[in-house]
Amino acid sequence: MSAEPSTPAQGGRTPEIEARIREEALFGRLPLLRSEREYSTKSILATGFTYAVAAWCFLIGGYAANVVGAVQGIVTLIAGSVIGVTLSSVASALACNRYGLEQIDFSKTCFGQKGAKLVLIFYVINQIGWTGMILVMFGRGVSNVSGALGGPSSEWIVRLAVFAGIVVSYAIVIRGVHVLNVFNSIVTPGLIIITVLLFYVIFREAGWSGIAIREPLEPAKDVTGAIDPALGYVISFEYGLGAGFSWWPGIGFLTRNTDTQRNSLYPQIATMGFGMGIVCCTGLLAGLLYRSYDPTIWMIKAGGPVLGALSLLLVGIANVSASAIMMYTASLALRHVRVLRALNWRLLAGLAFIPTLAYATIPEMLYEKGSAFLAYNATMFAPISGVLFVDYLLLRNRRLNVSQIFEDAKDGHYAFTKGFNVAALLSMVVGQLLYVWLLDPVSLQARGPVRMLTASGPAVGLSMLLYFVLAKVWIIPAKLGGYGADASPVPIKEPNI
Amino acid sequence: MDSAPDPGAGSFERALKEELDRRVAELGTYGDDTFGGALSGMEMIGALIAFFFAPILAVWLFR
Repeated sequence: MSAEPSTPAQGGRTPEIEARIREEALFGRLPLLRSEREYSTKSILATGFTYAVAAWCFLIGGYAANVVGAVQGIVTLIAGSVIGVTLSSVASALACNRYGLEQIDFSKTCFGQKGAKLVLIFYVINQIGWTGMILVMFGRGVSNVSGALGGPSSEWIVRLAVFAGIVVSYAIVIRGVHVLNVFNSIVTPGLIIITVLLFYVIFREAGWSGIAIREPLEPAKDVTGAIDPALGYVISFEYGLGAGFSWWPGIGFLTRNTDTQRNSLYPQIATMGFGMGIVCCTGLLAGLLYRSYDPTIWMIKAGGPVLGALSLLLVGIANVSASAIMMYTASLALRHVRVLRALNWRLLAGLAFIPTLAYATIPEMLYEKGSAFLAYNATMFAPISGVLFVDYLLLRNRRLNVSQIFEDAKDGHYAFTKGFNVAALLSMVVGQLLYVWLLDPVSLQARGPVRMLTASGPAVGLSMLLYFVLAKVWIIPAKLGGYGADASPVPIKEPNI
Repeated sequence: MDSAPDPGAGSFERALKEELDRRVAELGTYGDDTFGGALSGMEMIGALIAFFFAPILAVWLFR
């Protein structure tokens, strides 16, 4: 993402303002024009793979190792990631590509100008949660390497390392994430080498037959306390789906910059779905072999103190780099909130970083709840993706009025009822509640037909059906939401940018 | 994304709004064929079979 867009200079603007406008188009909310798109097939595949091969894959695979063996883990992680990314991206990718929009702006067409800000909360929690998780992973890596080399190893080391990671990430965010290009050019090939080496070490040590017979680390249990393999299988599938749905916030950021509709969809499924699923399998197999879900433990066991420490160092750099990117997008997303829009960038980014301090305070406790956070992503984003799918593809026939996305006036197309599309929000919440009832992401308590249908499936299905019906009998007849309206630009009365 | 004092903030706001109008007008001229053509209904169904139903079938087979 280093090339400059080719926006023609406008009369009367200083070079500084021109540069800020370009920045706002590339990384902010101004819709990207066709001439500015940078990603062809090859470059979106490369970028998507850079995103997909991330350190959290090792952690996600480790969570699956807790509840399933190798064969079931491979199937659920790859299938779950592919399905999660597909559902996340079908509507968002096609719309954000066609109209050059950022994800939350696109969400306004479905949830309403103010309703999309509720979705923004889930978006920011996703970014902050993953940032905290991988910074604790970095901190535990520092602590474990210190212990392996005979130094101190305690939660205080983890706390200090997490705090240092937060400070470095913040410093990167306020200077602009462009500085990460050089890091990423080293980190991504490094992570690919680690992944290949890990597969080699794992198969050299145990072979496929040796790994395939390994039992899960902490098999799921039913209410009587008996081991429940069917529940473990569903939980692992939900982890795969959660990994896929975790990309929902990033889909718009990437696909608005692609050059064709096909390049906005298929490369994402190939890299962040299929590719990530495969990399997650490294964590699964290593977790089963070395009997720990935690990459900061099994990496040292797999590579020995020196190679293990070097691997963890690389993973640590990757984690801090990924944290900076996520917090950058989280800070940008906060600009959708009117009162925050005028804030100085340092202050705005600082606000976004405040919740991450919880991870520097109680790192171990939050790290132990990481699998719940992974499932949370499916809980929140599966129904959102389903509602957006119905709205964009079935009800709007892929037609939006871009000018109205940036219109805050009460008679704007996407104002719905006082800024909220109550039907879409209700459908989303019903889906989320159904998910939590079927499978509590924190306690992993299962109810109803979850072993047969999963939790995400009914949650998405119900949200889609409910919204379709409510839109047909209420929203569209009431002429709310600009359904069927002309897509030609309308002069913007109260711009919200 | 600079945090330095910004004496030109007002002119930036104006320029941003002008730029938004310009971009929205250009985006309004785009048609179905602008970005390599819209995906047809058949292609969408094929994609859903390949990336949604096939993985579900795999999960069901290994349950």
